Amino acid sequence: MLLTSVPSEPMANGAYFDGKSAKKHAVHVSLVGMELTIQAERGERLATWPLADVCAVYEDKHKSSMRLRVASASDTALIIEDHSLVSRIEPDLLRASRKRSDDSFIWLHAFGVICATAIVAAIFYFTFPLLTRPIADLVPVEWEKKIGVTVVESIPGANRFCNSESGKESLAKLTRSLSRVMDLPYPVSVNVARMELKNAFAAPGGFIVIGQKLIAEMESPDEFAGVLAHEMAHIAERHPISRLIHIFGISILFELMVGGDAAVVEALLEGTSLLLFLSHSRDDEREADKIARESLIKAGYSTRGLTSFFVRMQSAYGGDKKDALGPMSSWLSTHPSFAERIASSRNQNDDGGKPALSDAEWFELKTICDNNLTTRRR
Amino acid sequence: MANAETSTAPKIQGGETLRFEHDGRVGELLPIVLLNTLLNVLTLSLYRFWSKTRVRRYLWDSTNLLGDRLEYTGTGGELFKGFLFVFFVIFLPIAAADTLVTLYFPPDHPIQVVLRLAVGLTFGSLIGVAIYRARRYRLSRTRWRGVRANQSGSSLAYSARYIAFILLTIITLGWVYPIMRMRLMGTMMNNTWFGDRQFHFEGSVGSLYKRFAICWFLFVGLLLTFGVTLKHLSSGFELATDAENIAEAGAAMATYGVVGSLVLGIVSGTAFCIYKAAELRHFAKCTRFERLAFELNATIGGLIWLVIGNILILLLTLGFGVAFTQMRKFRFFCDRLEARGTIDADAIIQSADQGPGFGEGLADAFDVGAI
Repeated sequence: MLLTSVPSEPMANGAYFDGKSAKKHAVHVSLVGMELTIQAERGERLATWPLADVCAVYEDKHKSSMRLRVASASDTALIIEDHSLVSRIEPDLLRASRKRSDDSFIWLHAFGVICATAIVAAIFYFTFPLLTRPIADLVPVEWEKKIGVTVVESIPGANRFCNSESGKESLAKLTRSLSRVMDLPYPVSVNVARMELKNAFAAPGGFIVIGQKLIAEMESPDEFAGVLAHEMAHIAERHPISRLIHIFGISILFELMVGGDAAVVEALLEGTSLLLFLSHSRDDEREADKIARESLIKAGYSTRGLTSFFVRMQSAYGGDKKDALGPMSSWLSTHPSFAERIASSRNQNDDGGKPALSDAEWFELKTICDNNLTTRRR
Repeated sequence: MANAETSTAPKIQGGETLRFEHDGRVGELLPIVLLNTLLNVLTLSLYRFWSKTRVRRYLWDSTNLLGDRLEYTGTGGELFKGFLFVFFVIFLPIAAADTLVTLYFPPDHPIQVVLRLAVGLTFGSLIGVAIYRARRYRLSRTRWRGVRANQSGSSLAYSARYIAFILLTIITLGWVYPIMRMRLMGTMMNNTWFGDRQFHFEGSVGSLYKRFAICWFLFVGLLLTFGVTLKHLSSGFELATDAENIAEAGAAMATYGVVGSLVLGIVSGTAFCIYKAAELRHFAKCTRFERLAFELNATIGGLIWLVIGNILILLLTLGFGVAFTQMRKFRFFCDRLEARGTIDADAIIQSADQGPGFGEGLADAFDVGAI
């Protein structure tokens, strides 16, 4: 019993770098209590390291030699090749000894960066719509119109305007009465065109184009008024130019944030920015639907047309097929699903309201493209 | 000096050869790369600062000189700080100004031209700064036997030289290139320190020109041949009258275009390696540290194999395997670099300069980091 109470100090030979010169000191290392004492071969003490401040990395695959560092003196290092000492000190080190390939990897960092990414993404998601509108307000109307013209020209058939005089009159009448109840930044210019797409759109600068094929689908002037009010609502909110700024801003920010090492990460980012854009685009559509409904009521029209048109478009475009893809399809779309739009427009169905146009006016509008006089704009 | 006797490191004496050894293994690097890839994807590449650092630690650590390993002491946090600095102090203001001007003024307004020019000049002058500062950061985070390396000098001065030489190279159709490489390398090496000792770089560029001329004429000759024959083929295309002839001529031209640019790529790549091998050898020969002279046994074949292998790795891993290409570069240099002469390592004192607190923001943005 007495003998073991005076244990010999565990000792090992090693090499020590003092961080002051590139000299390699041959040293004896001994464990005294909870401290490593580093002594030169002649006996002078070079350093004393408390085990609680020391961390270790295996120098080689066989774990035969180990490099120790101490927190208090970052340029110093101690290399020992003695297993008995290593196994004695290992449990008391600052952290578990690591392989060289694990050196510097910290799960907390990885987790922190993942969280930070999520937070940054969330900030982008919520601040972008708030930022685009004020920037959009800075854009001069003249220039916005120039962009609008280019946009209209880039869509096949969108500049082949139909212009039967009586049809244009019906159109102008409806546009006027909706303009009176809407808060438009500048007057809109509405046209029906022999567009290849069965659709309608609003471009920057107040250009609204409604496809001939879309009108052909409509069964009442209320439906037309609903679509027109929706597109005018986009202009009232300056959505088209805001979307351009949105795309522009996101591409610049992502360009600045991303390192160029891996093609896959870049593709992933492009996908993310598209999803972000689409999500905001759906918000815009919801807002436009809402404003359209309010404006129709203010102008004294029925909002039934908006609902009935969505219902017809849903069945025409195989709403069922789309729903079969599940929620994915609504994520990947610029517009909310017809089902959602029908539900929200039904919620507030009013019923009063006069027809948007008389039967005669509606007939003229439906046949606006029937004469051969189509003009190309500019 | 009592301490002198305790040293276990013999001084390198004349005639002895000092070698670098690299014992990194693909098997050890692979788990690092896989986890890094996963984390980079999850974080839309924001983890790259930490993943780069981990790879560097492994590569530096796998390199030893006289039995003592190099150490990389940089951290991911430092690189991230560098990124934040550049993002908020340089890029965001430029991007904001750019966006506002682009939106507020019509596209044909003269201020748009002024803006493009200003942005272009700023970025152009920042590339040289990025290269120089990135090297300073990496050297200051490199340790051997507890002593730091370092780089002094002004990154703006380097940048000015860099721009001037790039312009001269363009004006002279490439003929200034070898001088540019020598001068820029000289600026870096002459400002490179290990501890309190400075590296020296000195030599004439003359010997590089023979190789350069061969490569230049090879490349330009091929380019001309390619251009002329393509023009000839396209005139056949214009002369073709009926649809069948046009389709035939079109197909021939497309095939020629693909094959031609492939051949051009391979030949110019080879020509580049022929020149580069000579340049690397010359750079080593011009470098001195204390009484050590360096020699790099860079062969044309070895270099071509390095380049082709690295291109294949990047293609097959979609860019995620960049760490493997870096390890191959390390191995290339470690296997082929030798130092002869004398050096008293014990007498080298720690550098007083701790190096920059953060780094490589610009290099990250411009993608000019070598490792």
